[in-house]
Amino acid sequence: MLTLNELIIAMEVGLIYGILALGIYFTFRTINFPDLTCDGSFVTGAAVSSVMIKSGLNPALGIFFAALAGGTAGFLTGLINIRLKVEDLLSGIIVAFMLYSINLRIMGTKPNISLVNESTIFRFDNPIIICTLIVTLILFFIAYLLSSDFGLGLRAIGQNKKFALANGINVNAMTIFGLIISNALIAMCGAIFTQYQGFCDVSQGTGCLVIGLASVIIGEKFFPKIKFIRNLEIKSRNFIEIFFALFSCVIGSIAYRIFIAIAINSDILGLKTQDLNLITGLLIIFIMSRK
Amino acid sequence: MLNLKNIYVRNILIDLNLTVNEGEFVLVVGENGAGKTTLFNTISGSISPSKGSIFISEKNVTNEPQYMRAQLVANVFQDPKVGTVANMSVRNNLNMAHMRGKKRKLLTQSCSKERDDFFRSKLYEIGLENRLDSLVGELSGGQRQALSVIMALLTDSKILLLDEVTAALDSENSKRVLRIIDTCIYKQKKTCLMITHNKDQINQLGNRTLILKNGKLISS
Repeated sequence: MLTLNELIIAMEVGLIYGILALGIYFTFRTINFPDLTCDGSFVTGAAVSSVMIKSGLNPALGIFFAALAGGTAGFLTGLINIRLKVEDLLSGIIVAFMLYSINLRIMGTKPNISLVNESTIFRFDNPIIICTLIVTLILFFIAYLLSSDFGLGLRAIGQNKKFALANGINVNAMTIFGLIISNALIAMCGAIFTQYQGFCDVSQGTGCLVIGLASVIIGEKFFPKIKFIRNLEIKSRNFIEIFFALFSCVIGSIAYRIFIAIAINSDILGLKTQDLNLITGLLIIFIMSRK
Repeated sequence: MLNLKNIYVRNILIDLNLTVNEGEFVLVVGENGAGKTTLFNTISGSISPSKGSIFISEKNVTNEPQYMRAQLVANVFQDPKVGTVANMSVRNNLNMAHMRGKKRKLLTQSCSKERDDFFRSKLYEIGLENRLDSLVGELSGGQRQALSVIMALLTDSKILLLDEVTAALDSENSKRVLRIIDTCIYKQKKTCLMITHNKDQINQLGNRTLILKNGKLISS
């Protein structure tokens, strides 16, 4: 049976992974680029943040540099795809593959780093308050970005590249920009999650894409579309519509974690932690098959 | 003014020379595979010629990518699904066209009351002034093509390329779209090239007709 403490932990992890869902939403939904770099950039963020904390630097600064490192990984994927004409799926896979070695190098060739007794962003306050604050800030930033003229151009390349080009959008530059933002968010999620759980492992990024996608899909399927704001002034309405579309990813992430927690802690089903991937896969199939 | 000098594109266009003066409305005709659409793609920048030069208002744009040339060249495609985004609202489609050739800023919000008023005045011409919030995918084919035309005419681009714009429309919508084009070209003094197979249009529209055959201009 799921306890209150387990429910709170699921919500906290869901909030943190909400940032990952936002990153996935950015590539898969906004610019329509099937980016598989995320499994690598998640760990890059975690590794950079852990190493910086171990060196005695401010943990918040660690998150900032993690985002920079993740953004660089996204930039590389974009460059390989656009300049070297490697297919989108393959360029992401190649970068994620190479990142495994780079992440090990960042971690000083050790496969894991413990952050026990180290200073993290969760030192001062309740994790749920800190996570809510960070996620809200990111949501406002991304919603503002996407509701601008620049953001509209970004959204257009994901819908119709020929249309975007004919309307003066530099599709290549915009794709790279989208990949940078997405992977920066994913690395930021990796950094925050590492600080939350107190250790970094080189293989902790495995399955990030599926978790992120599951969150986005759950959010899109179950979070109602905003229709009650028709009377608002157009500028605010546009911002709120985008904000809630993004917010649905975070809600999806929390719902996913709670569902997994319920499934694993349910005595009747007899499921254990090792069944996590099976439950996730079945959950995605169930949601996607719903009309 | 549009000036093409010795344009060569992969055996599709062969040493093509063409001058279209400012405010001229030119019809482009020819059999399938004659090179009409390739000519338009070369002017808009989606195809780079392997030889030759393109000048728009005496500016050499041969090496400019399509997104940069969009400031000077507006397109209306044969298929309205290409020229518009179905999953975006009419407002956002118009917003995209409105910002063509302008700097898209991070700090400027794409929607505003001023823009809405401007868009409504333009949509009035095609009877869609109350459909700003509608998704473009909810519009009929004719409405969608009319919207494409309005979008192409929204900015002060020098050249307007119309690729069989009425091919997918019924006669009533076809007349309506052509009336809008004709009025706007006259008002805005745009240089316009239009591909057509329609004999009525060939007889009624344009200042002159270009005939393309096997990538060569055989009559002007």
